[in-house]
Amino acid sequence: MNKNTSKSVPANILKKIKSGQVKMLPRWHFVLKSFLLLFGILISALFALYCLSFIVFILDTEIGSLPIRGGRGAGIFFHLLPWLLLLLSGIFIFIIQKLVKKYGFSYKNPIIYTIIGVIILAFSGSVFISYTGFHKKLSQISQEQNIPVFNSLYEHYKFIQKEKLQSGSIKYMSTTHFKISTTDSQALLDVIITPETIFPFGRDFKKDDSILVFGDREDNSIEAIGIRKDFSKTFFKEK
Amino acid sequence: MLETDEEIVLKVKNGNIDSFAVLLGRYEDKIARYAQKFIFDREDSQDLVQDTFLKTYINIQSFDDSKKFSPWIYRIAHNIFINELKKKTLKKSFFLEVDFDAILPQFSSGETSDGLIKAKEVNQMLELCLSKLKEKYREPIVLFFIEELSYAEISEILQVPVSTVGVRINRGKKQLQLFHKQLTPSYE
Repeated sequence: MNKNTSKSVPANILKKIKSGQVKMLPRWHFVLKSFLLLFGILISALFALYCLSFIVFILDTEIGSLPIRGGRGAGIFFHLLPWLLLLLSGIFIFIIQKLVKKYGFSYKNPIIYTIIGVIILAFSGSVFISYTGFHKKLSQISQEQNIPVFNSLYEHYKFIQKEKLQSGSIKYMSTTHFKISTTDSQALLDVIITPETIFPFGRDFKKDDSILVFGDREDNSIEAIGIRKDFSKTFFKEK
Repeated sequence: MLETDEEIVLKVKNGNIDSFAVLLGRYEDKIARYAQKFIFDREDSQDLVQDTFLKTYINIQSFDDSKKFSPWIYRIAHNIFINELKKKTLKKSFFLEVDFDAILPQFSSGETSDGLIKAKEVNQMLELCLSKLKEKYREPIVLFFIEELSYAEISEILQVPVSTVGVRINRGKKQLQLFHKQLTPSYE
């Protein structure tokens, strides 16, 4: 660097500072910025926890109860996974990781440690939240009080029970079909059994057993993808 | 007794503008040299040095008094230089450039393992081949061999783990040796 420019840089800077062209930002500006960063992390963490615990809730109460197993079952399970929620969770985890990188404890370690840490915290937190019954309560409250966003959200993810899952007790049995009585219909529902129908817990059924049938319903018949005993009803009946 | 950088910063924070002139005097040559070795454009580098000091003054209230000042001002310079390079090369979309050195754990040798003789060799190579090095290796090499900062300080400036700094310096040196060999075939 030549001498003239070398001298002009500090002189220029001091001139700009002394003339008030350049001003120091006040301390509160940085305090506010740190606060906003923390707030951003907290909000992203809450959203990630909400989405992940909702996924755990859906898996536990909806998809987990389906009479599906094996290769075909895995395909159906894969198809029914709440992909939008998974994508949103991924986005929030990514945002958390980006925001946390501003802190020394994060960038002084390999990024993979932060990512793993964030994922472990998010998943363990979501499993905990899910098992507190938070989503069940929120689902009930949003339905009772018709809370706009939450109501439609919980209703949307109840699609499986409404459209594809049918419960009832066996009134007639043969190797190719059952007839079951359901709570929502006076007439008996015809359950068609195909060679592809899955029986995850075996075919040991008898008359009046409560069963869950997963499949495509058309009027008064349902082509069964899977059939299993409804253990919750059996349990309460025995008690 | 000579005031420390941190003591001077405290005075600047309390409104003593003249103390900032002392910081300018201490860091002007260092930041100018860093810019020159990193950007390789004399005109641009002068502007960038000025930007660095202006940004330092503007943000000085955010400086944590419990830390060292030099990594902080080099970090400001680093951000300005990187932005400049991004503007120039019109590349580096985040999704295209994944830095595995900082993502995965690295197992690197300590910073003093190379010794003084090798540092001298590296200095000779730097003069000839620095511009050929990739930015990600060039920057830690400049900060370590020319600015004589420690691995820990470089880690603060680049905001990557200390082990990653070690890996990048070692890889940078290997690349320098390779370029140097190509330029001077008699070099062993």
